[in-house]
Amino acid sequence: MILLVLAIASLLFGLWSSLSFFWGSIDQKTFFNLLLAATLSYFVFATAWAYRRPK
Amino acid sequence: MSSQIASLVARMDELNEFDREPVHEESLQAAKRFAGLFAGEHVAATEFVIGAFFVLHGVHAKDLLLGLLLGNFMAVLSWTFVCAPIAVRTRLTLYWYLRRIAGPGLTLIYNVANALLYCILAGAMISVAATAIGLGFGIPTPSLNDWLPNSVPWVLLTLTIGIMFTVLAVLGFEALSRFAGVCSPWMFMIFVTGAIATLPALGVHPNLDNLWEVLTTKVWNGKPVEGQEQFDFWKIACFAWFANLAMHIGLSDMALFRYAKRWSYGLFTLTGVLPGHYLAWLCSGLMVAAVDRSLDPGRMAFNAAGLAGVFCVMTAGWTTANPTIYRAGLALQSVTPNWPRWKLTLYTGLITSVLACFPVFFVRLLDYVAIYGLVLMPVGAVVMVEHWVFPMIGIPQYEAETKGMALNRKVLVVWVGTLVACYFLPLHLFYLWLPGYFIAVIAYVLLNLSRRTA
Repeated sequence: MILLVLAIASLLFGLWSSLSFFWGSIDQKTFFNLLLAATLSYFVFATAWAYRRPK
Repeated sequence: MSSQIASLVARMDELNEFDREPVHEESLQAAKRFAGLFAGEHVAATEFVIGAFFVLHGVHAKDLLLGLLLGNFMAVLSWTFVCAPIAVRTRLTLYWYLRRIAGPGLTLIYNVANALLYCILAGAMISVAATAIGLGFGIPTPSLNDWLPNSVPWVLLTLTIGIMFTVLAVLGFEALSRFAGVCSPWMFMIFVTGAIATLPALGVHPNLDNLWEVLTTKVWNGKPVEGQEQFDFWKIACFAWFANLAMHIGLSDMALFRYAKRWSYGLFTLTGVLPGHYLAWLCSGLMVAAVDRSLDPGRMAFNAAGLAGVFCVMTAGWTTANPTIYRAGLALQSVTPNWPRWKLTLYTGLITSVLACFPVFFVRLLDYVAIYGLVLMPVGAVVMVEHWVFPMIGIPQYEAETKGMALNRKVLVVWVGTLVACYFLPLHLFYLWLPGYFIAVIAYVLLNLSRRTA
């Protein structure tokens, strides 16, 4: 369950980074880097969740 | 010759053997399963191209927003009232139901036609992925007027990507399909973040007070780019309706809905078309407007979302091409001489890779989507008539099955005749399928009236 929550949080983080860029809080380079980080963390958590062993 | 056809048909039946029986009561799936299934199904590489094309075709913002709403609504109704009820009543795939109606010979022809159409679609996905990878190597994306391969680097790039996708499909389709399910929510997030991030470049204020003005003057401003015809409300609505014509009116999604407890589960397709065929199309429209209306998915995504965007285009191309290559291989398996699964996937992938070199399928994607649905639509019409209309007017069902026919000529005549009639109809390609559907329905009823018993 925690993996799923973290995967969803990564997606929300990516969404937040684009809103921050739109509002002018961060520059484009920072936005691109944050989005890339959100992408990597999403794939780590979502893949771990999808391929977890059934208890 | 007849023994060869019989052998092909036997092999085709063997491949579909596990689907022969109607789905049992205990195998029916819950509503939430359908909601989840469709939610991940309609965000694909083609969304990058389709949404962008609406901008290039000079559609007005209001026409787009309302047209997509109407078209997608009609598509959901088509799944709910045409496809799902037949699937729930028969609990069969289209393959086995069509076999009873049209005979095994015609089902074979349908399978091959479907496979070829799948190959072209997968080729277009590979081309889209190539625009992203080509960005890193400075390989220019073909222009809107390029139908044939325009440079050696483009050919090498598409062939390389196609071969990579094919090898991955050969190595393990099941595992990759599971991974593709993981990618779907992320791809949708990239579409949305990319669109939000292009707003400053388009001049939208942080408080959104000029959003509508920007959308109507800089994005969907009603001015088509040179060489593209203008799309109006009805063309947009029709396109959104037939974007998945083969699946709903063409009844391919019987394979999914045969597991539904109720026909009303068709309404769950809304969870797929709303994000994929509404929001994603709008998002890619914003992205293309931010790169001076130049149809280059790789550049659009990089400009909007950086490396994550480029990765999204590649992943979207791959996750969509992978099952499409697999399905094409499955459809062709019946006509190949006992080839193993891997060999068939390999050859199908290679054909697809060669097709991907031709930009025509990617730069004319909207037309191709229309043709794809149109070609398979008459078969859906025949099945609908056979299922609902024949019992009502007293015509015995399943002639091919009851008479042991290899090929029901009436179905073939209706299929080919409808396509010929559509070719000569003085209508835009996007409008052809609807009158074509009624032509197929009426023609099939008329051809079978002599069998009426009551």
